[in-house]
Amino acid sequence: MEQRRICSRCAMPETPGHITLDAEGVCNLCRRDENVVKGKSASFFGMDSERKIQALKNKLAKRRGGGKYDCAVAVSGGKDSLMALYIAKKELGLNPLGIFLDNGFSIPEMYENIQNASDILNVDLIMFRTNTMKNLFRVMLESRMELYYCRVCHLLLDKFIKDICLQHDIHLILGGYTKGQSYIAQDELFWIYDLSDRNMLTLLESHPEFADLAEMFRNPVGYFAKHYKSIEQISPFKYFDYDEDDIIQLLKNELKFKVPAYSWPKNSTNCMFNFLAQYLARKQFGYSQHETEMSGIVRSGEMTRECALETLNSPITRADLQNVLNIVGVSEEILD
Amino acid sequence: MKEKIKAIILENTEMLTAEELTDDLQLITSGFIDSFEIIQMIDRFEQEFHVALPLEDIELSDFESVNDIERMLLAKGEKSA
Ligand SMILES: [Zn+2]
Repeated sequence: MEQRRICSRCAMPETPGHITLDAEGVCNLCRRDENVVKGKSASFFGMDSERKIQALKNKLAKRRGGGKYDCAVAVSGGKDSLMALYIAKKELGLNPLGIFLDNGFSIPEMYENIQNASDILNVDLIMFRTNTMKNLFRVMLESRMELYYCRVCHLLLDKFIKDICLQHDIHLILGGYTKGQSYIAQDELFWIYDLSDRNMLTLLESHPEFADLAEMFRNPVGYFAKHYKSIEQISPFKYFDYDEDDIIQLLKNELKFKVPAYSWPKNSTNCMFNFLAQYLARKQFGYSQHETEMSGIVRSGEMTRECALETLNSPITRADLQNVLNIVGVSEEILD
Repeated sequence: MKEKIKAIILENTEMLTAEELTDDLQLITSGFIDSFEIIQMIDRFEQEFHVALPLEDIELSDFESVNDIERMLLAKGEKSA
């Protein structure tokens, strides 16, 4: 892949029409943040921690359903979701239901991490393995359209998890979003989501076997609002301040957490498909959520630019891609 | 109108007091309100201001501040009038 210029402050690559570098080599996102910080207005993130935790407790009381469980925690086996499970049980004293949705590409350490956490924390767990993702990914890959695989997977996981919540009369999901993710507006991903969603709609028109999913891609926010209106999803990390290294240490000590030996980027807990998803996202869009997340953390001063670049430069080899394609059952010709 | 909008927001969030909720406070990007709470408020806005806000057409950017919500409600009201 050709070398692209990277912002001199964060880790965003120059991307025509979306990420531009000025004369000093600084990207438009870093410049935008500079201006926001200057005109700093009140923010929830700046409130004192006692008030944040009280706000969370009020929310929990309001959303308690009629079933056995106080909330659900969607666990992937990665550190953030397991920490969310730990917080739910240990810090908030709740009776959470762990939901493990295996998209068919989970790495071996994930299963082990989840079972250990469930045993040690004495938390009930639903393990649900779906083949929908694999079947859908096959159709998507063969179409060679510009599609953002992580977006599609996250929407589907969200749907499956919320379906399980409804079955158990659960109205609150504690999700494991990290600092760089989700609750901080990431407009720089919106054009990728929009383009991918539009292409998904076109693709699904010729695949009646997935017709029931089309409504979701037409307007995801509206879809979830309409069908799962009673379910609130919140990130505990919005309310508790944790240091990334502390989380891993705590999980290793208390929940026998293992960092995966083989994942992208290195030391992450992303699924196997991420090798291919990241490769395609860079090729088709220029960057993915990994670049935007890491850059956000660099801008907030919690990671050095060098560290972010080193992580993002974790290699993706032809063998890594073949490995994923074999699981999906698609020929590697689609890479050319 | 702004006072009615503020009352609905305060009913639906744990995060803000009446003093903190100014007309131009950034509600979503500053983390005070999330999309779930916006969705919960839709019914109330519809009842209170006699407008239709179909969920499938929701743009979260219309709910960024009290001023934005007022602007959006006025626009919708004119359309249906
Ligand atoms: Zn930058």
